[in-house]
Amino acid sequence: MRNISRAALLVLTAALAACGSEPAAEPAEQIVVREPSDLAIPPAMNESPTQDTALAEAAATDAVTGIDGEAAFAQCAVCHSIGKGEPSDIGPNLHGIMGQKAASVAGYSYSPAIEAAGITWTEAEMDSFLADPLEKIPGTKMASGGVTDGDERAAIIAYMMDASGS
Amino acid sequence: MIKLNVNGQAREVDVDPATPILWVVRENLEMTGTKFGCGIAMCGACTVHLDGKPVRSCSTPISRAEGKAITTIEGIAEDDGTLSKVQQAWIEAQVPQCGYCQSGQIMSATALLQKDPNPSDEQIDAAMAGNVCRCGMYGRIRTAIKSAAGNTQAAKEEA
Amino acid sequence: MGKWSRRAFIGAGVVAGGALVVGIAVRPGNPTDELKPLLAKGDGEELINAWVKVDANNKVTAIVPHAEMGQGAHSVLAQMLADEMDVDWEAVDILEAPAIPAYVGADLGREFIAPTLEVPKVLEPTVQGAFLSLANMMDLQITGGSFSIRGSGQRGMRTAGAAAREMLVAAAAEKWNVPAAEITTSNSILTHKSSGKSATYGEFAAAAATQDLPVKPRRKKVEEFTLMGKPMPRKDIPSKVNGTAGFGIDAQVEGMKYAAVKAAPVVGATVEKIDASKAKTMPGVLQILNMGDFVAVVADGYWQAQKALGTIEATYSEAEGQNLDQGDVFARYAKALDEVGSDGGDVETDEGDAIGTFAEASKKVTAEYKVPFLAHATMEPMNCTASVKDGRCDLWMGTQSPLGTRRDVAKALGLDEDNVSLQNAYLGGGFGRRASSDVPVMAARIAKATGYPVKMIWSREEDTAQDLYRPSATSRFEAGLDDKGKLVSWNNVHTHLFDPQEAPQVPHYAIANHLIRKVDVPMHLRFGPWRSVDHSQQAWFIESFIDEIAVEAGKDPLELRRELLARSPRHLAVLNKAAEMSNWGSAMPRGHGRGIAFVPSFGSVVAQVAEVDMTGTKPRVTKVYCCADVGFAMNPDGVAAQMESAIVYGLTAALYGEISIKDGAVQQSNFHDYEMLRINEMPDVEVTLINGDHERLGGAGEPGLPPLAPAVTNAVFAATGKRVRELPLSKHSFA
Repeated sequence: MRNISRAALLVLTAALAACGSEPAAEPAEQIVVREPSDLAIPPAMNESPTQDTALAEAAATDAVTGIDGEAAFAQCAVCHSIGKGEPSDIGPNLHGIMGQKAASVAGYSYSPAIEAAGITWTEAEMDSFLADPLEKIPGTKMASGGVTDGDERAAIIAYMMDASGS
Repeated sequence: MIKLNVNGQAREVDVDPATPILWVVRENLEMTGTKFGCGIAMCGACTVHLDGKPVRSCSTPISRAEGKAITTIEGIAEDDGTLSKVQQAWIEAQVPQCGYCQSGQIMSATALLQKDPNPSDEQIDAAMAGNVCRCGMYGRIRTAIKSAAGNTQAAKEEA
Repeated sequence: MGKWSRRAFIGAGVVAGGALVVGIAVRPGNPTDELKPLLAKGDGEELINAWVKVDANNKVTAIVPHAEMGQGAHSVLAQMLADEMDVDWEAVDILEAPAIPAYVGADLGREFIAPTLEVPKVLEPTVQGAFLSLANMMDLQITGGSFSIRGSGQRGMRTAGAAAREMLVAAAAEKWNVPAAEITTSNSILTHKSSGKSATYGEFAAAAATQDLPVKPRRKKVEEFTLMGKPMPRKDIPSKVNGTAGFGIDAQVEGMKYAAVKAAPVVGATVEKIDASKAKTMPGVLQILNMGDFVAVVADGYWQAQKALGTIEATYSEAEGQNLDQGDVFARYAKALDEVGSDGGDVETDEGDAIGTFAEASKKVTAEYKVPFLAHATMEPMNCTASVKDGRCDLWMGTQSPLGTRRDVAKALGLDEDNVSLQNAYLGGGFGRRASSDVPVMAARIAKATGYPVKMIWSREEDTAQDLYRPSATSRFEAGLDDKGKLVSWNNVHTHLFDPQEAPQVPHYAIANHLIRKVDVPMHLRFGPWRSVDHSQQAWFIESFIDEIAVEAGKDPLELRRELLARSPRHLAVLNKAAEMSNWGSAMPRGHGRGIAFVPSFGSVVAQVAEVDMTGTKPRVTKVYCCADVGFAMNPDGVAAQMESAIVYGLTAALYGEISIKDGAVQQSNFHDYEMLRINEMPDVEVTLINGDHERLGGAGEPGLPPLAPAVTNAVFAATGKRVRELPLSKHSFA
């Protein structure tokens, strides 16, 4: 029974700690964008998609020639920096990636799969990787769905070279 | 409207095409077996198949699924409800603890076995390293994959 | 567990017509004399609860007072009840006891928080004693402290099962007009052999309900067990392989909207101002809230809410902790420890003369160890669905503490506790994180402010940065050996003591002179129980230091532990078994090493041997041998699974676990910078169980964790000669 009692006290303590300064239940500021009565109208999901995030831009990218590489890269920028000397984020920094050996950015903790892959990032290798990362290197941490459109991949690769000054 | 094929059924959803597959499946289609874990494709809890290949649905926009077949955990049993070999092996090895990551684990394992019916330890590592199990049931996952592969000897040695 | 419906949880536990419901009803006038002093809570006290229901169709429902977070408690509790009751295991359903006042007398259990009010020994094997134990657990309904099986199961479910069986037998004896002693039971069937009569439990359910409750039902002896001690497959697992298991995050409530939240990065700061000019134009957004301590966006979909939240710029107030960096944390600890020196601080244990014997010791060993803050990182991010309407609040979530949650939410909303209800779901990992009510309080506040039923989901980033952490801590030791190399003096001072109180203690080791002290160092971060709680750091301190003493004494680390445990045969058996499993002492390749650790905790005893390969760029743990004595393993496969699980949880922390702060805020955000062990790094794990005492069960969920980190770092020392005094291992270079 001793332990129950302690567990009980402990949880109570934790709960108290969680409450801290006892925040008021009411908000300090409340912006009502749509009134609850607006529920009858079709949800705003019907509105045209905004262009403010990487995924949105990627999805909105038209798969015709003249794809903006920087815009296409935005989906990669969610995890990767590309500026010279910028720190790695969720994924490694990609400055100068093209032509490098895979898994060679110092200080980034790669998956064993990509460390063992033994590939060099030629355009062809990068293209097949971007098309289907998990298929190309099973076990890679970059488990995104891949870029299905070949022109879009080419635009991304071109941008990665441009942004690296090569 | 975006036209989808989910577990063999034609579905239509009215969403921003940039919406990740995960949220369309969970909220619009009300199929909650696919789980949200990290939102950045680092944990695998949201794994579904697109044309049989495993993808992290939290980071893959629904627009990418147009014209492809989405398969979720709800869609891998037989039509008569018989569990798949992988699901049965999961029960046999008593793999799940909290169970939250297991939909993703099973989807990754299913894709692995479709590609490599008798995977080596290295192939299992490579295919499954993207799936985190915080309850730490990796040993049992390995056993179950080998058992599902029909490699009962290897599964026994593992167990 | 079934799908959600409001009706289901309000109606749960109610006696249906023609069913036997065993539990107990204690009403004014009902309590026995022995019970009265424990129940006294004023007039009108009414307490009704149930553990098992047998319906006319022969279906048996076990009603369990604990959350299922992967530890298998639901299934094992049902297994214990079913065995005592002789029911057909296939026909057993499991229902989690609802957290509603009609079901549990909230006032009674509160009395039992006081440690003095234990269930008296005389009452323990009785129905009333079992009831009190359960009432206590059900009131608090806490799932933690590795307590479910050894507490609720051993005292409650078994007694309830035995009582139900006796009532069914009595009903049959009455109807058949035969002596009860001649009736046998098996697989939910009553049989009277000589008359050839037999019937299902279901046929006698209604009649049994009218029988007197046996005062002291007979529980089975260990040799009579049919389900207990067997590796029965868990009942929750089928739903966890086909996507149908209902977790908190899967709750579906009519009219529900989604909320994404971001709290002030520094705990204690408030949100001063928000610029939501962009967010309010974004699709799906319904409301944007500055709640003072956090910002919330409510939208039609979660992704829309999260996206809009990301565009909001917020400014925060000054906060006390805002200038603190991780280095300052350890500096604060060092200063506090320097100030108390060798004998100051709050004394926890003072036996013999540790200071005097240390002064005269032939050999002196000293060391200081440091551990970082740790997050829980449950796979299911924190979430809660709340609806606040007409003076009521309904909550849907997975929690380790349903009633604590009800109380805290009621308090935050200014509601009566009775007007807050909670439907518990499966927990996508708990590990202590889901024992606190900070998350449901936030969800309830949002629901109240907006008027919508709201499913609030924390992003992984929020889950990592706003956790209730395992505290960072520093511990210092001084030990003295006499001229024969015997350990005679142990002096320890550590920062922080939370729970269990015995975590820093070493009574299992025969050391004549002990002084154990603590110093409190206040910190602005929020702390909470983390799997094995204080044992998670204290065991690493203690078992690392024992290893250092062995080296100084010129002894094998196993031999020193054997000497210190010589008077404890049960402990020694566990230690020796782990050593034997690992073939301790056999040669290992260059760069490889073997380490051992031994930790009793939560009533169980665990020894582990880890093997490491230090020849690569980072430490690789290749094998872990684990011997555990949990008293009696009710479900051996379940206990083994808990050991495997705790080993991985402990290894993840030992290798990578580190939450650090900068400018008062947590620096880590997701799995890329708070790394998890993955399958490619999984060591082989071998578990052996010893049933050392079937009368006194120990816990299973936590005791496998504490020995892991010291076994690994002791192995690193064996392989490299480098002693690790600060975790995690990823901070160190072994090149």
